[in-house]
Amino acid sequence: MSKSNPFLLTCLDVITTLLVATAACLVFFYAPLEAVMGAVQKVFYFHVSTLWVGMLGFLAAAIASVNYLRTGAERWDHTAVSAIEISLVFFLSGIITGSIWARPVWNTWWTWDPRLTSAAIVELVYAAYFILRQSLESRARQARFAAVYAIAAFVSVPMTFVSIRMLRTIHPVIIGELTANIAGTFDITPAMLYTFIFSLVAFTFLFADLLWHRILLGQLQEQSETLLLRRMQHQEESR
Amino acid sequence: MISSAALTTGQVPDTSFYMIIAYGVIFLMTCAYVASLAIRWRRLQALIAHNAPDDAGAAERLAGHTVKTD
Repeated sequence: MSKSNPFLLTCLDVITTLLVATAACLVFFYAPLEAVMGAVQKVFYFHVSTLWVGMLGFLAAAIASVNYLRTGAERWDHTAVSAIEISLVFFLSGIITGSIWARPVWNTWWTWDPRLTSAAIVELVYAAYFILRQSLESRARQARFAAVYAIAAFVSVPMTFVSIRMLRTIHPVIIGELTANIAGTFDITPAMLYTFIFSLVAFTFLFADLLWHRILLGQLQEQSETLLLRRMQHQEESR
Repeated sequence: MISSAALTTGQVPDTSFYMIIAYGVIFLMTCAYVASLAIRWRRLQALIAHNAPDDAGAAERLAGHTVKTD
């Protein structure tokens, strides 16, 4: 993004790009075609990975928010905002790709299945986080209220994860034990599993990379505001 | 329950159109987000440079550059 980025971040940029490109190659050229769904099953690898990034970011935001309330350090607020912003983007792309997968498999773009509904609720709950921040003028109150909200909002994330394991659903369950409630799943071969795990690792790197960039951006924004305030004070004094 | 074996050969439905669309969405959304970060970074740097006209090194220092002063 900028030549002022630390050397380690540049290394992380390169590693992340290589990992994501390799993951894409594995998906398209290594993972086998699934017998019933065909090529659309390959959406699964990046669909789950994007949702994983989303959930990871929401968890990171909850932890950062607890640390902010404990210490009051601005950097934790920057971390929480950054993590939620990235997660919202990836969680939304996870929902959209799931909808695209559902069209040929379920013959519908959307159904009010427990997993789909709870995922949509999570996206809206975290979108409201930014509305809450915008509605408060004081910087300290903004950070404190947002921290409490981010911790409370995180309750919705594990609920989404367990929704397909506790409620009757047509959403496939790949990880964990199958129960009588689960109506749809597919067999996974070792090649599929390797591709899936590699995609998860690549997207975890992508999240870490984007989070680092976004935190730097937040710090730059704060410095810019400080400089603007200083300039205004200087102008006031010179009058 | 759909039970299936993964195959590398044989008759499978042609759903590649949906796969391409899905991966296109992920690619475009990721690119758009990275571009938004880059645009915001450049705007902030310009803003810092604008607000610190009396101090030539301020923008660079705030943006993370190391400024040598002899």
